[in-house]
Amino acid sequence: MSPSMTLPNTTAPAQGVPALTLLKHLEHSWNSWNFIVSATSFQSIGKCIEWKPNEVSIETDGSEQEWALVNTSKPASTSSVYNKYPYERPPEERAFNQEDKRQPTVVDGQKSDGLSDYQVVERRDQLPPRVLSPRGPPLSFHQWCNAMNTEGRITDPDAIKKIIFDGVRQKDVNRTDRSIPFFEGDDNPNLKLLYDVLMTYVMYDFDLGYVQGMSDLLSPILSVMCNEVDAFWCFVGFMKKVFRNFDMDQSGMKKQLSQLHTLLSAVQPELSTFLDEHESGNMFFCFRWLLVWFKREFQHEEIMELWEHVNDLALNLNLHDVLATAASIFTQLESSPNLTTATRRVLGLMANEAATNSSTSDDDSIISEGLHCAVERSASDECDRDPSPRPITAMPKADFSSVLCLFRDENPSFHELKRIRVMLMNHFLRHVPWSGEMTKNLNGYAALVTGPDYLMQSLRKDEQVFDGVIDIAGFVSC
Amino acid sequence: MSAGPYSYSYIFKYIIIGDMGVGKSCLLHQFTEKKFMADCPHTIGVEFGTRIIEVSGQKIKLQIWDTAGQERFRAVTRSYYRGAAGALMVYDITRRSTYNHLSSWLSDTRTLTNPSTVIFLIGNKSDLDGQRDVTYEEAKQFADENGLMFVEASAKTGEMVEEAFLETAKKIYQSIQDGRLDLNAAESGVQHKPSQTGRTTLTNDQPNKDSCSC
Repeated sequence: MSPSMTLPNTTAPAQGVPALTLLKHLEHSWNSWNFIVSATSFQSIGKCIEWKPNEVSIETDGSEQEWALVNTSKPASTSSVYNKYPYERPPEERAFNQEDKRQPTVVDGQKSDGLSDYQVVERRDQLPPRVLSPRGPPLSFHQWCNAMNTEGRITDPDAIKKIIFDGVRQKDVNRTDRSIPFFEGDDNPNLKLLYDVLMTYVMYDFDLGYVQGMSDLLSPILSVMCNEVDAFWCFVGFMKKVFRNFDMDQSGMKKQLSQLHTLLSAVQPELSTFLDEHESGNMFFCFRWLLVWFKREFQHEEIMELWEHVNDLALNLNLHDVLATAASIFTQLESSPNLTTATRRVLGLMANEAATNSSTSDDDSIISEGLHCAVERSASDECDRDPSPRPITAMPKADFSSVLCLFRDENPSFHELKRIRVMLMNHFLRHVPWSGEMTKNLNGYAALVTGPDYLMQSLRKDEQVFDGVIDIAGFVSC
Repeated sequence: MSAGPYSYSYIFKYIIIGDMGVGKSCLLHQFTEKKFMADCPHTIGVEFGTRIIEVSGQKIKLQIWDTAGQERFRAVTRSYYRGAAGALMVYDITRRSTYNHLSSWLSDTRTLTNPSTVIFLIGNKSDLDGQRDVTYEEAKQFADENGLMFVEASAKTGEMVEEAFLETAKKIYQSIQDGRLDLNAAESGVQHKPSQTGRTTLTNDQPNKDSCSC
């Protein structure tokens, strides 16, 4: 087996994170390092650190002189987005109880030959062993029939739901006692608070006014903020994102529903045809899901969690995994020969074709030009700093995830920022299909990763940068 | 399993319409569950409920579409009018504005449904007689002028709720008997299931599993 080393884990189970956590803590030596570390360097670190199985490790492959982050254990959590990044919000800012809040312990003074002092962040108490949450067999036809009474109605929908979702939600049991009946009782002052915030909002955006469903969006916010002013401004921000759904003509909703239908026809043509034949092709049955972001479909605690992940509010989202999955879905869809024109349009693949015909729209060309410039500029910065820069094209794939992790950890220096940006852009230019839609997504991606500096630039070009991220993460955005 | 889940002869499609807060969802809930749902959350888009009733010895499944009342959602809710055999038009007897809007609801219904659609006017919240804002007489007159059936009901106490749904069904069934309602028309809002079809056979084929994991 090739030499492996275990890297200490700062927080809850994370894939692809710890390597860079370590790198970050090699603070003194960091600046002298070229980011693209050779295999030998890693081997030397590897010798100093005890090898532990079932943890994220870096494996070196001598023959290829490349290294890659390898996850030696399968993620057993209910969803890959549970993975934590080193950055942790202060507990009081968290919207929901995370299952593991134990703080990392810093072990000082470990030394290794040839390297300067560094700190290893290590968890003294290991995480409890992963328990696979058992999923029962899917709902059977028999169960379905038995659940109906003589009139053909489901007598106990909760039991049916339980069968359907069994296993998925089991861990929520330990969160249940945390659920505060925030709005319970007739004279609950929080109800008045809810009302007041909504009234203020009606005055704030008089044209939009109050629309049913807004209270659904506000109540989780209010129950987190517990403060009228804060809740109001959070709500304002949220509404900025979704106000089109509440427009008088419902154009935002109609657009989303039709996009949903188009995507469904690509992914599940049979179901899509069935719906069409039964006059449900308008997808209005999904109206509520989309309008209030599944708020009515789940329990309060579940919604808090879902929204956190969608918005990455707790910075808990394993951005890399989500985006990597999204990118692969995108590629998968893109390479599908059966996509209809409409589907291709929703996915932004039509713009791609336009680009190959060298008839890019102005917006696209501006943005892509900007990206190329950024790459070139940063690359020349690299040259200034590093007398012998590695060609960007030789960058190992793993760098990409490393960069992401590092970046979530702490504000990097300006130079690091630039370097990371080069890597990012390079990655995109090489691995991600280019299209108008993807440009938007890339902006979102890059903005999320590279922080305020790039974000500000991106925002000037495209206000919907974050929508791009949500888009490719599989959510239909407005 | 003689009375299997699908043993009914007809499906009637209903819609419930009216201003927000008049109690449309509560009426539906009272009819299907025989319970009053306090703190009923406002409807977003459309929800639906079903119940099997009996009219003249025929089992009829009512498929009831409950719509959001807010004007903003009309673009969506309007699409559900089509093919409704019955329309329950609801106002709140304690809020005059909800009564005043009836003509708008009525014209929507007339435009979007077929001529044989039975429209039933319900003045809800009859238990709150002390706060009454609309008299029975004027509403009755409005109903007569427009050829609507009318009743005052209370989703809270359940008073007259059953009647409203059943009377509508009887009227629809009459239309079928009289031949005024063409069952073959796609927009009649009625589906006829003359015999116990394959579905029932399927259910009978199931081994008698009385218990399931629920």
